[in-house]
This record gives sequence, structure tokens and C-alpha cells, in this order.
Amino acid sequence: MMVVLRAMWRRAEGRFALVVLGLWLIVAGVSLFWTPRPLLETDGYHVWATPSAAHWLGTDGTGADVFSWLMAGSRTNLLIVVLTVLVAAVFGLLLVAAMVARRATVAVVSVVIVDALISIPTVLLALMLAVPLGASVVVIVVACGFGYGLNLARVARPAALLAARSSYVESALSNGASGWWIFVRHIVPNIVPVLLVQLSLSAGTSVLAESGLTYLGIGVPSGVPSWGHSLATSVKFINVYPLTVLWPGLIVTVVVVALNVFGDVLRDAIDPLTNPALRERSGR
Amino acid sequence: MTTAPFLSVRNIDKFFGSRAARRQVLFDVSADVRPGECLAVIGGSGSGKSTLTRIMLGLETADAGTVDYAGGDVRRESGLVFQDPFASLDPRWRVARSVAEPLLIQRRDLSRADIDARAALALRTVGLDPDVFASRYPIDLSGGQAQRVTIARAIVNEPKVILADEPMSAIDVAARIQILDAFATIRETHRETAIIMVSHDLGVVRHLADRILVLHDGRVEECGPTAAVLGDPQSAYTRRLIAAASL
Repeated sequence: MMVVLRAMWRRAEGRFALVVLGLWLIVAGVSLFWTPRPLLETDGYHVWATPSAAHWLGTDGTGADVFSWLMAGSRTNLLIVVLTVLVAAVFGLLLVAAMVARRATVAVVSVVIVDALISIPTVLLALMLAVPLGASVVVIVVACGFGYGLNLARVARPAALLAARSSYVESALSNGASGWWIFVRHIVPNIVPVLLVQLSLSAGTSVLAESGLTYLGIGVPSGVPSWGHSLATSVKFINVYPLTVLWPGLIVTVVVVALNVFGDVLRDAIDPLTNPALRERSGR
Repeated sequence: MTTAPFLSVRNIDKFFGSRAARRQVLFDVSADVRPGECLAVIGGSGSGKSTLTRIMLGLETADAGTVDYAGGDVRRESGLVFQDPFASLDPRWRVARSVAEPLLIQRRDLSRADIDARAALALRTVGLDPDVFASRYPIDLSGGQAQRVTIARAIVNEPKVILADEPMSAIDVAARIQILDAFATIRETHRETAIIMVSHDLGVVRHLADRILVLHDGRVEECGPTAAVLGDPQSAYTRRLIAAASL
């Protein structure tokens, strides 16, 4: 663990990603217990207030404290990112397993299905899900997890096929290894570099998707703090007071960049082929 | 070798491709393998050597003919050594784990310490010090070392038969002697284990094999003791192979 963190920290972009994502985790955790102002507190005498000691990032059109809402929003976005990545990873890995199956019909049919489903836009899927579910975090997680899982499977398939058709897998199969053994012990470890990059991109895109879907009214429900909610409620007033749009926009941008960079840096740090320090450690 | 064969193939036919592209690669091939012997399968490229040996070990199915093995599942009682050692080792597994994999799969009754001890013994048998090599990754091995690791993996579960498919063709000349030594040691320490070796290299074959089976365009050209086949070849094709090898 420390070897991996040290390798990430050695790179400037790694330090940037670790600091940003570390801050995000801390702020999301602290927001469960404390925000500078209660979320429901509004101050009608200080609407659109500029940053001050009382309101660090100013107030919005209702006089609510922008910093408190962004702080509370960080935990909603963190939840969405974690759940979306989990759904995408599980769904994507199931598809990869089907796409590299030794039974040719399973592999061919699953490739055709993935190619067909990948053409469905995530927004369209979210709109369809919103009909029965209404605006909800579930809509974002399911729509994005489904779409990103398909992308993940498509991108990871070549590396998975390479491992699945390798001589070391043939040796293991001849020794009686099960399909589960091959998938978990040989295929997944060999597609980890692709998975990490793809999942970090998915994490970043899910932050953007939350903003977009919430703006459309099918994402996070009204009244639940999120960065998308802060953007959606303030973007109408961008001409009146641009700062309330700037803060959530800036946070979304910085976090998305950090997530994208995080995947690249983690891939290099966690892979023994690219991180000699991992190979130098003794152990079997 | 007077012992009875424990692995026999009879009248094997094999086709590749389908419909118009369908072509026959093995024609009525029969062969035997006896315990402890080294059978070399030689022939030109595309003569069906690898296909025949893979059918013998149950890695491919024949379109006609029979495979008889005096035991359980021949695949589970065999070890494989391929041409490219680096493609034969999982690049993200340490050497000790790769060598121990057959035991991890088949011998759930063994403790972790027993498995490690057997993997270490297999590494020593092929001339690699487990204290030095067990924790390495394939990327940190030379070609010869990597091939010896795959040989150690092939013998770790005491197989009845080892298939070595061109084990030296991707290895530099200097490292070949190490591979030859490894096989020679296996022949001394695993006297009941048969070796089926596919090779172009008649020098290696002369050094290791007890018998030679010569394949030409999917047909058995001749089969017999090494000294007889190389010293007094009966077919014109074998004579051409020997002449080409001595160029």
C-alpha cells in the first residue's frame, strides 16, 4: 500500500490527484457532522452576498450559504461516484467474462449484445428510468453504471482475450483449473491497468453526468445537496451573480481532472510491470 | 524400452477449417508413448507435429481415431512447456506462484508450506535457486531462466508425461545448454515421467530422445529408436531432414 502511495506521490500529477481526492473525502466526511451554516438556514437580507467571513463563498438567491451546500453536496457526489463505479465494474466484468468465454456462441452473442446496447445514450436511459423512479440518485447510478459498464467491457476485451488465450491459461486449464479460477486469477489481474483507467474516467464522467441529469430534473431530487444541484439552481442567474455558478463549476472541473489523472497514476503505481519497487519487495 | 505404452493414439485424422477451406492436417497417424521414455516428434513446419502431440494430451480433439491413456484424465497428469517462455508465464505472477499453480489447482490437501517446499524443489531440479528466483517476476528473468521456470511448473505435480513443444527455439544458443541440463536432470530424477518433445533441432533430439517419430505433411514417415532413425534413416524425407540439419 505504502509502496503504491509513494510511487503516486513521486509524480506531480499524482500529488495533485491525491490532494484533491483526499480533500474531497475529508470534506464529505466532515459534512456529515458539521457545515459552517445549517443547510436550511436562509438570510433574506443577504442574498447574492459576496464572499465574507460569515459566508466564505457568499450566498445564493435564497440567502443560503454556498460553501455549506457545496460541502454537503460533496458527500452526495462521492456516493454517486462510488456506487456508479461499483455498478460499472461489476457489470463490465460480467460482460468481459461472457465476451472471452471459451464457448464460442456465448462470446459471439455477448459481443453483439454489447455492440447493440452501447449505442443507447446514457441520457436516454436515464430519462426512461426517471419515468417510474422520478428524480433520484438511483437513476444516475443505474444509467451511468450500465453505460460505463458497457464501455469498460468493450475496452477491456482485447486485453482479456490476450490473457484468456495465453499459454499460461492453457497450462492452468490442462491442470484442471475452473473458469472462475482463470477469470479471477489470470484475466482480471491482467486487465487491471485497463480497468483502472476506464473506471477513473467513468468516475469523472459520473460527476459531470450528475450535474447534467440534475439540471434536466432527473438526477438528484430538489432539496438534496449536490454539486449538480448547486449548478442547476444558480445557472439561471449567471448574469446576475456569476460567482455562485463559478464555485460548483470549478469544483466539478478540478475533481473530474483529479479523477482522470488518478486512474493513470494509480495504474502505473499498482502494476508490478511498471513499478519496479513492487517487484523488489520479497514475497510470493 | 520394453515396457508397455501407457499412452497410445491410433488412426488419427484431423481437419482444420470448414467447408471450402477445410484441409486435413493428420492422416491415419498412430503412435505410442512408454513410461520414462523421451519421444521426439520431428518434421518440417506444418507437418502436424504440434497438432498430433496436442491431441495425444487431450488439448485438442481428433476427427477420427482413438486416444488411449492408462490412467485418469491425461491432461491433469501432464505438464506443458511451450515455445515462448514469456508467453507461458503470467507476467503479473511471481515465479513461486507460477510454479506452484498446478498444486494450488489440484492438491487442495497440501498446506501452503508443503506447496512452497515442492515449488522450491522443482526450481532446484531445473537449476534455479528458489531463494533468488522464487520472488521474481517473469520480466526480471532471462529467456533461459523463464523457460526453466516453465519446466519447473511442468514437473511440480509429478506428471506422467511432459509435452515440450519446441522448448528451445526461442532461447539463445548460450542458454540452450541450461534447458538441456534441466531435461537431463528430469530424466534422472523422474524416471517414470515420459517426455514428448517437438523439435526442429536434431542435435537436441539426438541428446535427449529415446525414439523419434518423423512426420511429413501429416503422415508418419518413420518411427524408431533415435540411433536407428538418425543413423540409418529409411525414408528419403528423413534423410533430407538430417542433411538439412547438418548444413
